Amino acid sequence: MKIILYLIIISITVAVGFLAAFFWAVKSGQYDDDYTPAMRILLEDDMIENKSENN
Amino acid sequence: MFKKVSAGEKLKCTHCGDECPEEHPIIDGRHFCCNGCEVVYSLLTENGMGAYYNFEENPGISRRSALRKNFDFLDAPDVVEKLLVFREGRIAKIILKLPQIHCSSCIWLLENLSRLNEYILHSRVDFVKQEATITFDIEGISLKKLAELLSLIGYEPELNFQKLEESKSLTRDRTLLYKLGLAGFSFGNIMLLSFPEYLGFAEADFRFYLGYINILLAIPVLLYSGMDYLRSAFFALKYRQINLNVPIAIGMLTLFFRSSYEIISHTGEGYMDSLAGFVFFLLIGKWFQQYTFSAISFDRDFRSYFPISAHLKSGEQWTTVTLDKLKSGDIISVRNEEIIPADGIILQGDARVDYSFVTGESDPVVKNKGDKVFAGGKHLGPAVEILLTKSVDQSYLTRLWEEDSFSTDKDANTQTIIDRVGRYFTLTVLAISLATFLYWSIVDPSLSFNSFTAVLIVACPCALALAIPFTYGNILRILGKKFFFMKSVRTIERIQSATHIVFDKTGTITDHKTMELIPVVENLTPSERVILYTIVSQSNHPVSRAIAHFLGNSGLVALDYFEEYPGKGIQAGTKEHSVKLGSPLFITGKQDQTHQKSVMVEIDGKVKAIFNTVNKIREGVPELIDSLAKNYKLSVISGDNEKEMSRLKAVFPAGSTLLFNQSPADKLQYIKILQAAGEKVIMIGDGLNDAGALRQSDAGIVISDDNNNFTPACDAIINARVFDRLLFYLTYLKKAEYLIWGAFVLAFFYNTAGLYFAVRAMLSPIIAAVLMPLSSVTVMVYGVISGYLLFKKMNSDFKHLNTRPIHLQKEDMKTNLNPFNV
Repeated sequence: MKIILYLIIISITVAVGFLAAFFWAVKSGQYDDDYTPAMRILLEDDMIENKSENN
Repeated sequence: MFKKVSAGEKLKCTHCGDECPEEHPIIDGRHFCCNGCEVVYSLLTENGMGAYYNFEENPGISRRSALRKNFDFLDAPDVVEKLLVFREGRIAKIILKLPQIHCSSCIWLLENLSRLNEYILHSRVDFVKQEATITFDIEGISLKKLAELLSLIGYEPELNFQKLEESKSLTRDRTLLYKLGLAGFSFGNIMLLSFPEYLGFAEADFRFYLGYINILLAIPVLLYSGMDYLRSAFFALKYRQINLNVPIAIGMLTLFFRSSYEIISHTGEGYMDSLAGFVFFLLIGKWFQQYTFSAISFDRDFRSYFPISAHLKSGEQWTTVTLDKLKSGDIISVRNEEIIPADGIILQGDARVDYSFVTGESDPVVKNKGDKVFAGGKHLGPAVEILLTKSVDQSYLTRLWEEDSFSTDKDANTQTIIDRVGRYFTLTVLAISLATFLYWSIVDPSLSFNSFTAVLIVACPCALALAIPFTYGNILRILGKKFFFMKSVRTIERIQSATHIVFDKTGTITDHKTMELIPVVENLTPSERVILYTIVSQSNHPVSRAIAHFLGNSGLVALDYFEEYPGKGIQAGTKEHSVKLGSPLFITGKQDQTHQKSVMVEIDGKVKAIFNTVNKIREGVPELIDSLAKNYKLSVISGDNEKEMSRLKAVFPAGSTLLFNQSPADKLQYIKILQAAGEKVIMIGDGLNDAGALRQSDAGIVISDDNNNFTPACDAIINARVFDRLLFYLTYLKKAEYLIWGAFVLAFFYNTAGLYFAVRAMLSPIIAAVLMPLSSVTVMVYGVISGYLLFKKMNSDFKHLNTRPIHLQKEDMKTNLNPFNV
């Protein structure tokens, strides 16, 4: 059964990694605005026309 | 390129969607309502940004009535320095509030600003806060040029005196998210590790290792995530008070120490999962309750109404200085439509000052050389020079902010239901646990410690503590969708206890945008009425519309000629009669002091009618007042004179107090007097002159014509379009208290069930682990659903209000608001 204990320790280490990732995400401001990114994704990047085409 | 369009054809402006007038610019086969909109279109298409018009129909902001704002003050280096959040060499960064942001096209346009000017390096929009963060090369494009560019395309940045003094820190408080994340992490992992235990699989030696890991996981939950509760309970006890955090803290500490003891002494597996879950749910409640309407500001003071700077005379030169540098004795120049920043005396020129926002006086006052003017008035007319007699902070209006009311925290002083219930709850729990302890000490001392701590654990009021955050937090959201925005959950409790409602008059009961007529002289014959009706129905001026409304549809005749003189009046006629109508100055040729706000009608050279114009009482308000009077005592405090006394008396029931000529400080004082007599007061106002009363009252509600208007500091904001639904909302909030009692009953039910096991010393970890999350989730779900159901029911009770449509405005689109559906 000892192997279970090792597995548990490994799994918790991995989980701590995810917790750290969450902290990093909060710290870098990803949770400050949870609305605009959802709208931004609908806007295409290539919508800007070239000036010459337009004339 | 102008083109006439045949009558009857309604064209929408490609840019803003407004109806195009008969003559309007056309480019690329697209129609525009005005040159301003056309300029924006050309600018965008020339820069390859025509796609702006593709994702939403008519996404732009109308430029027709846009004033070209003067941004000269942005040339002053100290202003620039204070506004920038960051500057290094040429690179500068600023966060600008752009209240016009309303659709996805706005985001796209503003985030591609660099296409319009190469010196703009990067821009990012926060849609909900209506802010843009712009990084730019300040030597290539000055802040003034940037502001002008934004204004040109329709996004005029909101720059005011308060903005200058705000702290510019970019970091926000994210601790709740960290705490929540940590608690969730520990909750999940402890639960996982305790699972073998629940199922009875764990072998003897091995289970204790899991126990030690559980302790390690629980320590940060107790010391970091749950610290606020421990601290609050500690301070409450220190000041000999008991709040709900006391049993919460006792429960948490008992859980932790009993579990640690069991694990270390190898006598059991502990309740660490309950502890972590408990803190996790409490924090979720806190997070849910902290919902804020990001785009709305509840704490503006006079500084956000005032401009950033003034034009100061220094020697023979004029310079731009920020308002905080102005002092008594300075000479400043105030231009048309600008706010007078401090009290002073007019040195040169004549001013017409609009004090409606500051004092509540509805008519602009004429001030000549040598007259005193007060801070906050809006100057109309050519520029005047003013000698300041006070600094900005010491002026008549701004001194109001030195009152004590502005430094007390209303939320902190609110006695909430939960505080009252919490006290009895704690005492009851302590009594039960002691009784249990004594009983078992006699019957079977080995179980006394076990049962005593078990009672403290199950009685922990987690579900009880979640009742208010979820029920009221949800109500905050529901009413926010219905144009009634509350600052915090505690506002709800203060509105519930209100007994007296105090109204401001100008701008609150009356609407300063629509007019009503009171005839002074009226000798019109039926045929003259027909001619007059024909004339006024040609014009869109508010007074013309008011006259048309007053006459009713009298039929039409053919007009021979028609000429409208903006700001003066109309001259028109038929073959037989000539008609002039307009201001007394326009008709008689001389200034008339007694009839400043009246309209005269002259037919064939004789004055046939004189009307006084007054601001119209808002639609639905008489009915609202009528129904409010059944539940509340009512008062009106107006800064205006008594001329409208009789009109208000017709609306307000006998017994209401009507006070006139009230200064801003008088208004505050009146609220204090009511409160001293034991009343709980709701103040409803709109202007800076109400700021003191709004602050002093138990719940200050501001009425706002659109979400971007200036609103003084308050507890709630109601949109003018739903003002007639105020009683509905107040009743809804009042009834919401029953929902809380319902949640309490649910919570008590679970506590009692837990006690049943605890007093008999039969509380196993698995029972605690099931009961705790189950009760919390029940209360959460109940809180959310019951709020919706109650609203639905009340909506059908107040069905008569739904007959009047609410016109959705452009800025409402983003939230898909519909006040009629839940």
